[in-house]
Amino acid sequence: MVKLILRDKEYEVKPGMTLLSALQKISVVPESVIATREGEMILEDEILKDGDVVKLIAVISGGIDNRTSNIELRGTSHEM
Amino acid sequence: MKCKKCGGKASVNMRQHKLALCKEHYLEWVPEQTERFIKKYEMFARDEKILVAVSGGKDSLALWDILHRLRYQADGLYLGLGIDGGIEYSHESQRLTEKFANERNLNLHIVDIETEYGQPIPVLSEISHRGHGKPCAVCGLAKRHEMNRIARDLGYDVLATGHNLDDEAAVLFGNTLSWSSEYLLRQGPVLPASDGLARKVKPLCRFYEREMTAYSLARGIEYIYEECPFAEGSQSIYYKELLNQLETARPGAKLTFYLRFLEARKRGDLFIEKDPERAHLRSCPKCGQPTSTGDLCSFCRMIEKVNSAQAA
Repeated sequence: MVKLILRDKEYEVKPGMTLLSALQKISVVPESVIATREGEMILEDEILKDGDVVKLIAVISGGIDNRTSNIELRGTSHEM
Repeated sequence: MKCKKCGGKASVNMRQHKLALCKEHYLEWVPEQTERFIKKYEMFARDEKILVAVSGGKDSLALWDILHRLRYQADGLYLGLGIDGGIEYSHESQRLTEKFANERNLNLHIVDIETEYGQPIPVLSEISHRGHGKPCAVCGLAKRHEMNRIARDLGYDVLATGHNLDDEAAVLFGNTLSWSSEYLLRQGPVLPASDGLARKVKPLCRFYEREMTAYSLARGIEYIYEECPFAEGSQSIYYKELLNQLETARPGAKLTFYLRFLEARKRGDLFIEKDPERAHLRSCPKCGQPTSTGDLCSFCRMIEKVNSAQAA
């Protein structure tokens, strides 16, 4: 089997499928992760082999400020 | 998949550019592109002093790394927010930022909000009752205020932040959903300097967040992987997830969304501008920074409220 790890979750898929198929199978949006195997980045067309351990690194971060304006404004806005 | 430059095994695939690169060529391509964006948007010149706002996250550390590789005069600014969240978030962020700076012999300024204003961000938020129970609004306000203050006090020409294209697209998406015209008119890679405001630039604004993660991994940059404990469930993350679903189905959708917006804004196609940069702005009587209010700026009001509450 192939093991995929995303944060504190672990998934198993059958070997022989591509990384893209594996991500679709475990319902992870490919754009939202980088996959590494033995410390090296792998791409979506990589065929996963039995015994592979794939670490999925989430790429999304939030809560950064000062997105929109350098001037203080009242009211609601999206200055994440 | 093969590297377009050398034919070796590719490590990064950018579907929006129809470009796959191996690790070595990717690490060359990112600074080349950053330099191109710096020049295209006239962000800063080689003789200018740059202050990079660093949080310990992948984007800001990657930006500092790239500017250092490009031999710009870039110092770092870390703001200690005092966020713990059970994972010593701020402590760990600061440790990683200091480690990054020390390993490269870079100059890092550290400013601690609690030391400056008496309380860490979560307590300032609690006392001032801003932000509907979450400290994100106060955190954003304090960061904007302090980054601007410090950049000006220390004589930097420009303040650089690590905002990537996903950050920008999420903000644009949110402000479009609510048709926040004032904010839409101000969004861009460069926010020019004006009275009381340092110039602010976003050299990574055309890189996907995924590309900056790949860059940090390929460069071996140790960054804080844990999310801010208060960011969970945030609107910005939700918008990013939605946009990534769109991107998966339509490669290049995020890039097109942002670039077409910039083009329309530049042509003046979005709204009729009424001198948006200066409209209704006055100087705060306490700190002197521009504000849209008739009295103290939001930050000084918040600090006054905290001080009054503590004195009572």
